[in-house]
Amino acid sequence: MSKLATLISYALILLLLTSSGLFSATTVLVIAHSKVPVDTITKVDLRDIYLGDIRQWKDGTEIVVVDTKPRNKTKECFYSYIGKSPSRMKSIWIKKLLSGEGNPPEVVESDTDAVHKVASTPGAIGFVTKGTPLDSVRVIAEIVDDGD
Amino acid sequence: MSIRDLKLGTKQAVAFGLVLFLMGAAGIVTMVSMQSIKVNIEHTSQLWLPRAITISELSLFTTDLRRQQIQLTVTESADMQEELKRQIVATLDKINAARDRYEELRELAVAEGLYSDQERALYDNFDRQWEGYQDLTLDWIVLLRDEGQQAASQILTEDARRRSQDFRQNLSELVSISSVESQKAAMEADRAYSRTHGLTRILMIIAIGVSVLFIIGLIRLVTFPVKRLADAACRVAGGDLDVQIEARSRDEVGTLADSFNQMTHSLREARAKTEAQEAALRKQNAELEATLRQLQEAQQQLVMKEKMASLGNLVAGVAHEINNPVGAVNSSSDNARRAMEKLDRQLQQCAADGCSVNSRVSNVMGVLGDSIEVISMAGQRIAQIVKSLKNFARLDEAEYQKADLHLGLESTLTLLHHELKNRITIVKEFGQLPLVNCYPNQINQVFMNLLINAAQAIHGEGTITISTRTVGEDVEIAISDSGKGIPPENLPRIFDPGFTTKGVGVGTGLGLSISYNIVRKHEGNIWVKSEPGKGATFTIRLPIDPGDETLLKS
Repeated sequence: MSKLATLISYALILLLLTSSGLFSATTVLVIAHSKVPVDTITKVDLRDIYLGDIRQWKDGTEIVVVDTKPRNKTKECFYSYIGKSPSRMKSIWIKKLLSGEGNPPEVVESDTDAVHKVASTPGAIGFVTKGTPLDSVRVIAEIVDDGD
Repeated sequence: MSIRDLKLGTKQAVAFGLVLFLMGAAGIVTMVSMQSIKVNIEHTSQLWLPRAITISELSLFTTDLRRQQIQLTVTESADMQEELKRQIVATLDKINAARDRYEELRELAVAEGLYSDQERALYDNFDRQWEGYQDLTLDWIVLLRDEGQQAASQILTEDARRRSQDFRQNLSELVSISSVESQKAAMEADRAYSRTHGLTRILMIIAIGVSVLFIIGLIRLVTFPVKRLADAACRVAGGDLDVQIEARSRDEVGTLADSFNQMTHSLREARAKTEAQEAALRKQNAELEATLRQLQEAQQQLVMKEKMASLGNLVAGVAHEINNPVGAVNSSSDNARRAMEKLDRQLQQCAADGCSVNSRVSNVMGVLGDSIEVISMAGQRIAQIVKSLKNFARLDEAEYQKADLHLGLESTLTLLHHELKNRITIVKEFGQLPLVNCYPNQINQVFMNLLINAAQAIHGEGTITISTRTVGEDVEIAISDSGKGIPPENLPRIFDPGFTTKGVGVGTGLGLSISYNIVRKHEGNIWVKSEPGKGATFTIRLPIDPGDETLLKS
């Protein structure tokens, strides 16, 4: 009897831990203007776009990169996904800006602003926390961070 | 089981083992400590110091960046502006390179567990502030491009300045942490070194102490006992077999000592046995010699006895043969004297009757009377000599009997009359003597020997004094002469058989020896006192009754 009880309690604890892990996980959605000519995007492409190395979509549309200002989990998650910390990324942008090789991303103050910006700018790309009301933007990637 | 009972090899092994253990311990302590020092030095040189340097560089580069930004804001030369932009890009590269380096070092430090939460927080903080500063820089670049230097300098002197101060503050804290930690590590290394130094020294001192003790022990356990053994062996070789070695331990040396003791014991026994045998042999030899001497003496005495016996027989025979004619002479001379007296009375009667007697007859009568008188006296003297001879020889008295010693002395003197007369005066100081149980002929022989020696000791005229007396149960006869005396060196040997001072043919050297034996046989004693030039006194002491006759004969 007691064995069964122990087993059940273990199972309960396991469930609790798993669910809490699920709750703490952050999911980031990579969104793009509804007219962009892609449905999905690879990690490498995403990084090159944010570094300013890729500046046009396949159809020649200028890419407009949108960055959210607050340094929150979503931002951490996104930047760690593409392999550059925000501050490193900014160094690169400064360099590009100084040498006139491109513009830094458009900075918005919140996820909602980001959605608006992406929805209203042709060729725009950005990232928001999953759960943010999405107007007419296209979700081209979903980044799941396992908590940590 | 004490340390004494262990074998030498075990003792050595134990001591060597101890020394080895201590050395090994010292070595291990040193090695462990060296490892610790090495780790601390490595941490300092590979983790702490590079981190501090990298952060310092980072701080320096950010300062450079800021200086270049300010220059860019104020310079008016387009060339200069382009140059400064290139410099800013280069500085950013440097900053990022420094950050890369730092992050690599951080990985290593994390792996070593040497990256504190404080450092992590500080660096994260710097990262955010640096990001913010870069945001401002981006804004500054846009302003510079779009609105000119005036507007741009605004950002630099206000927000950017504050932020740069903040992150530089962070960086300097990071540097100080790294410095403090590297100091700590250095101090730890120093402490480890001191600790090791002390511990190693103590262990080494102990090891040296143990070694010294071990050497002393070895000397005590081996060298001293072996030296004792060697000394003991020397003494044994020198003949001292009573050497015993105390076996203090039960190792090989102890066993050796036991064996040595056993050996000396065996040697002692063997020597005792040999000595006993030798003593027995010597005793037997002495007995043999004594027996031989006795045999020789007996032989000589036997010869002498035989001589004396023959002489006695001869003397007795002669005396006997002479006795009859002498008796005839004596009785005849008596008869002749009586006849002479009768004839003389007849002649006187005749003269009274008036007949004349021829004077010549008277003369003849006188001569005749004198002759008869001489013959009578001579006959009597002969009779006396014969009697003395018979008395001396005592052939009829050779048996053990009570005898008058004075009579024996007188007879002897009579026989020696011819030797003594005219030259030597005999003084007799005779006391009262009882009859003495003895063999008279043997005692007379003793008197004869002593008197002849006394007479021979006197050259020319002299005196022999014979004194006798009774002393308790004994009689004592002393014969003194006024002769030359006996040299002191001869006194101890005077009674030895064959000892003589007389020339060859004068004496046999047996006289005193035989006398001594006769006196001893009678349970008596004979001794001599003499001073050179003052004569000698021989004293005989005889018991009046020496006891059973059979004892004397043996």
